[in-house]
Amino acid sequence: MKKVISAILGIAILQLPTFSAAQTPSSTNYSVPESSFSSGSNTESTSASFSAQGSAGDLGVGLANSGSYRAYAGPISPNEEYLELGVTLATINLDTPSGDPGILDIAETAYGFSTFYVRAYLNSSFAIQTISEPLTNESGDTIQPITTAGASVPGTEQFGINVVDNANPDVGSNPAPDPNASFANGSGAAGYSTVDQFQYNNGDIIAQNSGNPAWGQTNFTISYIANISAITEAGLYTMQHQLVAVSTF
Amino acid sequence: MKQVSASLSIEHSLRRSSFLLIAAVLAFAGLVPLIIANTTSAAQLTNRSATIDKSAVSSTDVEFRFDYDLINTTNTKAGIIYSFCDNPLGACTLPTGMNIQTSNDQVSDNGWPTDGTDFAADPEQTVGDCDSTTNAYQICYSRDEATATGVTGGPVDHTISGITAPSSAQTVYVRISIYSDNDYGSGDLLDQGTVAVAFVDQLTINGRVQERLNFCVAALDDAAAVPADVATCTAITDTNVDLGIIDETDVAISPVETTATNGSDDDYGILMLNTNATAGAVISYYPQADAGGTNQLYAFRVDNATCNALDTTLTDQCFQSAASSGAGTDISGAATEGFGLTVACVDTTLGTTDALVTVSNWYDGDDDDIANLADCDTADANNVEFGWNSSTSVAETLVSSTGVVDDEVVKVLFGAKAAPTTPSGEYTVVTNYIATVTF
Repeated sequence: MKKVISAILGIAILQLPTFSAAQTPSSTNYSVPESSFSSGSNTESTSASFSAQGSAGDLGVGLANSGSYRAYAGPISPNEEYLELGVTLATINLDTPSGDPGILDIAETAYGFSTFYVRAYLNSSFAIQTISEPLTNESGDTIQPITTAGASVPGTEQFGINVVDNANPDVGSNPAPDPNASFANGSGAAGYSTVDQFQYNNGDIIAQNSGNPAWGQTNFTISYIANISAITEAGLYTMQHQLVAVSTF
Repeated sequence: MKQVSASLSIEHSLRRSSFLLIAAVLAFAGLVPLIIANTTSAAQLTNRSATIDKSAVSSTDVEFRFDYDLINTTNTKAGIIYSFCDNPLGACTLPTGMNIQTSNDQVSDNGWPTDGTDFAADPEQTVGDCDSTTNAYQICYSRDEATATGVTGGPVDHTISGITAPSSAQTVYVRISIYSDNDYGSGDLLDQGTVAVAFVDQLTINGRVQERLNFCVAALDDAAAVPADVATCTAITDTNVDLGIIDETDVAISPVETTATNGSDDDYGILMLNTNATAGAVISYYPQADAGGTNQLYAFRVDNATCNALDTTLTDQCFQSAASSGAGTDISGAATEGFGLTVACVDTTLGTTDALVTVSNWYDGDDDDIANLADCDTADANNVEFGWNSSTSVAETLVSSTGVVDDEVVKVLFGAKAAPTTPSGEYTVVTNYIATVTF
């Protein structure tokens, strides 16, 4: 009989943890999605002008990976989905080094840049897609996009972008994990991550996480280049560039 | 002793019963949440994501494609509830400016357990967990559960459209709940999960290609190379085409080879055009009126001469003009006179376009063709059809394009034949050419 009682008690005790596992402290008026007892951690801080997740004074924060295990050290645990894409609102005029601002020239490459950032929170992955038509004028003519990554060639009609630091023309910056590569893993995608090689296809992925999982904030710079030929139609060429973040959880 | 012993036995038995009862209660208490959880808790959808086709704030008719792996493999999947929230957990608030209910519509669904029907958007309703009547953040999709025979899980997608994006840049979290029936009963919740999409500001990229029109008219010697570009053409100062002596035996067609006696200059006319006009170009011409003359002012004529009012007259000092209609005029006939112009060809070897293709029938010569020829500036005695814009000073189209023209050269030949009665004199006409481009 003692064995029976012990077995029943054992079952009962084994079931007890199911009451509290993975529960979020909450009431009708509040919820605490994450909590920690440490010197300086917080899940998220926001104001009108900034948003941040951070920790301070903890012994260890970060991801440790091997082929057989993965550990998240620190006070923030991945219990909810998170994605942030920030695009710096801007109008970018493509300029040549020696010509009038915003005027494309058959002899020189016109270029410009813009910035965006992605902040992921231990997602499986993220990808930044470009979903806009290339430069198009008021009559519907387009600057021919570079469909396979290639160099900028003045005199040949071309439109392309990439997300790295280029020398020819001298524009752009490499993806910048914030504050460093230990805390974020965004990078350029194939076709858009080689110096002085530009490409543009509507729908292409231009940036993504370089490791698994995707996490942290990475700042990107998009470099735009345009060349025209003798037969490029006149007009004001404009591109309303939309970026889409696709995050898999 | 026996009685005591029995008493102890009873007490021991009671204590053991109490333990059993306590243990059973504890065991039941432990199992209850497990049992309840097994009936109501949903598995987490894996590999879940959402892809939108527009990311600009306030975009309308945004399409959402949801991808995820169904975990449940034992139930029919007949209902989906989407909740569009400003956070992934807790109370759901529809982001400001977002409208998901007014126009949302089914686009497609793929990979779902076999079912003869697709999902369809339900009207606003309050049925089970679907309370889209009350909750502006909620939309519900269902399909016929009676015919839903498939029970497999795995990767599926579901695409809907007609969503209006938030009015400010922000992340939208979409909570997805899968149900086994189409009345969204709480007990029929199967899998659930949250995905995120970001609506952001747009980048505006601008670059201007300046309008360009380079046009040149010149007289070119038959032996000279065609100018390489319009600038070279413009540097040519010769604008005279001299047909030399015109008689009643043959048609004089430029370029007329120069001889010791005929006075010709072996020139022909060229019109060179370079433009990036997107909607094309038109080259037209008109003869300049002889200000001091009388009648037939636009004809090939002696300066300041008084001509007959009828250009059919063969005895005045105005050549009869070729027609600007039909196939033009064959001016080679005996006992007639005539003067006109023809486009021998358009030389497209200098640029990259072959755009100047349209020409009036009365200006395309006997062969009805202005395509590039090896040496179309050579006078051809058999090319005797000409046209002429003689009746008005309004410009008449010679050639035109529907797009950009890159250094194309229109070769213009002039032809004249005198009648036996044509008076002597130095006949001339000045022609003006206009390039009109549409950007």
